[in-house]
Amino acid sequence: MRGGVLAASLLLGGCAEQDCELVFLRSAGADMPIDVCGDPSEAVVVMLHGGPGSGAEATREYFGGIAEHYAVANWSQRAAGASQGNARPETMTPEQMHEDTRQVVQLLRTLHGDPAIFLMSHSWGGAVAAGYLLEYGDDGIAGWISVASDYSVMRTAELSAQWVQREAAERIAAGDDTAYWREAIGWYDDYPSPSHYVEGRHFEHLERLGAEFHGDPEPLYGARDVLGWSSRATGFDILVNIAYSYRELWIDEAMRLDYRAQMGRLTLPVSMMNGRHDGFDPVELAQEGYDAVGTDPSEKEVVIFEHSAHFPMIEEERAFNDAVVAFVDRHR
Amino acid sequence: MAGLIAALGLVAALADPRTTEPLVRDHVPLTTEFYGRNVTRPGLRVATEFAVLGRRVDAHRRRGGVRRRDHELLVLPRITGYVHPGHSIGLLLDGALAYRLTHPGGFRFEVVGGLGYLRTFLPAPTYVATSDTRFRRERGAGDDQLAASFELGFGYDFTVRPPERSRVVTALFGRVGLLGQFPHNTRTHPVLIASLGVSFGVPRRRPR
Repeated sequence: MRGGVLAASLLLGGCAEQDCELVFLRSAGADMPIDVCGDPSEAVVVMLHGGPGSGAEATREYFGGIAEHYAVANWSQRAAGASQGNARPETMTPEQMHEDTRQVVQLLRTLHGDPAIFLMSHSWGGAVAAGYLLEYGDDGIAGWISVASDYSVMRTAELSAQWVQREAAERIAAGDDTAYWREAIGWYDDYPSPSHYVEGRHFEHLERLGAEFHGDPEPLYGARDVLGWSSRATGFDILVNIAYSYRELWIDEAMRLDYRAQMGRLTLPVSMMNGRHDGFDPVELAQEGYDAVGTDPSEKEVVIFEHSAHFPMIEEERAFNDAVVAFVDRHR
Repeated sequence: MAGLIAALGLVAALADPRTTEPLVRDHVPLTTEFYGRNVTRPGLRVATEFAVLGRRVDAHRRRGGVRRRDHELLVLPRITGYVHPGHSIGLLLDGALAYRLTHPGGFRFEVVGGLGYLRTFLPAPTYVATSDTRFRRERGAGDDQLAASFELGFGYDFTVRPPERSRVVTALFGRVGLLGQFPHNTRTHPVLIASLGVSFGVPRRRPR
């Protein structure tokens, strides 16, 4: 019986454990899905996913613990995940992403009777969240949960390069493939602040060092997702959208984003979360983000997940969900 | 690509000095297929086939005997509908050109190239902002797209083995390929497609 329910659920694209309601937002050529899971009457946590381009579908199943208390709005940004339409290159800008975020927030308020809205950003989503909050002056947002945040893409790249060099030095000390890691360290003399997405060599180092998952790596975009057995966005959807987003947004626009100097204007409650072993967005970003925002110390926090790398919501799902619920409890 | 392969196959068959006779089927196939968008997203395709060219080629083997092959160039008008849960519902109207090679034992191989119109519908309420705080619901939201496909197919034809006679089910077949949807963010979005089908024979009217 349970297998039948699960199979029917997967076939229909739903989630057996969560009560979800799907809507689409049409904005500037893009049709973006927003899957609201849980009860939105009191608070909605809007997920701003990473990437750019990867979509909210890859992580939505890990927020069940939040959805037991509040709603999670799993929104796939333009040219990301299961988003569709014809988003032209000129709409692939941080400013349009901020406007999309504003519309998503307003739509959720309109549809659900003005609940407290929290932003929960991950990785690239942190750049979108920071830019939106600065452009729209907090916009009545009740709080920002910033996970492995790219509020400064330039600083992220710098810290990521340093992380690789530290880890590589440990590998050399342990006698592990010393020639390869010596050469890797030398490579950073020429590229002290590479974009891990643009520079394939840096990405290769990150992968070999387990920068994404501290424990057993879970293939987010593996063969399972090329067919899309359990996801609304198939592997093709994600790969095509990531390629487009990188070309039209990341390389020209996003790589220069750095909101650190302006983040002192943000005074909303903030939780800076990070995996201890994250090589993409290293753990230092959490404390630096905490220091950068102008929020009163009583309303901001740093939460470190000791057994996680880039995806604490996957590697420490329960602890992550509990931390988010506790933050929303305090600030809704 | 499929058209090129089809043309080359037909040219090879027609240029062959051992070509013996034109191939005329005594039925019009009507096919129905399970259509899998990204293999797992269910759909249904209905099609028919019209032979543009057909040749039965007999070649004498060195050790004696005859090796027989049927070569056909076909046009396939097709209607396809699918449901990609949580993503889209699609209606595809396309025409395909196919080259089919059939072994006398009944096994067949084909390459199929299609081109057509794809209309997709979003499977949930869709909203458009009309002001900073107001939204209207968009009815029938989705995309109008050009769809181009390339498929490889294998199957079994029940009608070629002697005695050659019409049957209700004339063939079973499967195809796998790629479908490109354009425009998707001003570019083409590839989709894996796979189908399993059955072909029914509708007898032709015989001239009196």
